Amino acid sequence: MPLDPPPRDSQGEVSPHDHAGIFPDDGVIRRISPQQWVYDAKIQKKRVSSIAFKPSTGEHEGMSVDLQKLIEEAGLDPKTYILSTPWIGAVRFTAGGLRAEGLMVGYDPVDDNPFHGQVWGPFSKQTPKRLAALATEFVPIQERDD
Amino acid sequence: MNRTRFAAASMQQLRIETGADVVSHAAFSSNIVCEPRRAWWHPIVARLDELCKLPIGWDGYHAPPVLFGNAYFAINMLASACPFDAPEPQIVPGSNGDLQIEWHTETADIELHVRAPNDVDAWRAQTSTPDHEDQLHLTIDFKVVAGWLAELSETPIAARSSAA
Repeated sequence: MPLDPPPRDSQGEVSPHDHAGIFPDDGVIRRISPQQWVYDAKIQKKRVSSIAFKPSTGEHEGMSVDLQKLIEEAGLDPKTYILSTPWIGAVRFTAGGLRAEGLMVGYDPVDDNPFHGQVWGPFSKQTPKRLAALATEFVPIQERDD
Repeated sequence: MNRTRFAAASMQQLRIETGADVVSHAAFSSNIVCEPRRAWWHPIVARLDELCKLPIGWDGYHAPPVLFGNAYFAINMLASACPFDAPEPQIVPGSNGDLQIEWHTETADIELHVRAPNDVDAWRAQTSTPDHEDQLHLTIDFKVVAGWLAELSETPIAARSSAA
């Protein structure tokens, strides 16, 4: 079922909101670039840097995500859809898990991604690290050799 | 691109980005003339150069490359704050043209989020004190970070001494 259109401000920009049509168990996918992988000597392997879970700046900017249910309802495979961008991997949250961190999960379709959503704050200093711990691998990140 | 070329090229770009006088804008401009070298210096400069050339949307969404002003500031901050034997940092781009400088060793994690020149969130966690984290907002004085990095550099020596 399509989501209701998101609320917009007088400039037509999507306003931060917690969309009632995004249910607690719905998947929320965050694309991860290998540029944001770091080696951690404590676990002796690479992991995602906390900076990958910090929001964009700007009045209405949050953390960009893809809404898994919308991709599936369009008849697409979410993993294949994510992999359409070279080198990109992804992690997955549930909307309920993000809301438990005090965040809002909204719908923000853009021209090149009708399944785009945003996660809005408040983001505390600890939020990115908590999200890094909460995230589960969805599409393995491909390591570049160059 | 070596550091001198990076600094020279950055002056022009920084003027374009900020409209500011580059020499007075840099927190540690004197280090451009008197540059200390670490073993990892050239790879770090090359990494910053790479991050400034990332294509728009490198993160799978619409992130821009790292802003030259942030890279320029970061390299000066590192020159000022890093002891000669500091471990090599990792540099990670953010979604706003920002960047994060990180160390993740067996004994501590240090992250310096360069949101903009003179706007840095610094964070440290140590395995020896798991219930305590250091968190500061820094602008032009990075002595605290220099202290953290000195401790990080000394830890393996201390560990060897106690083991002996």
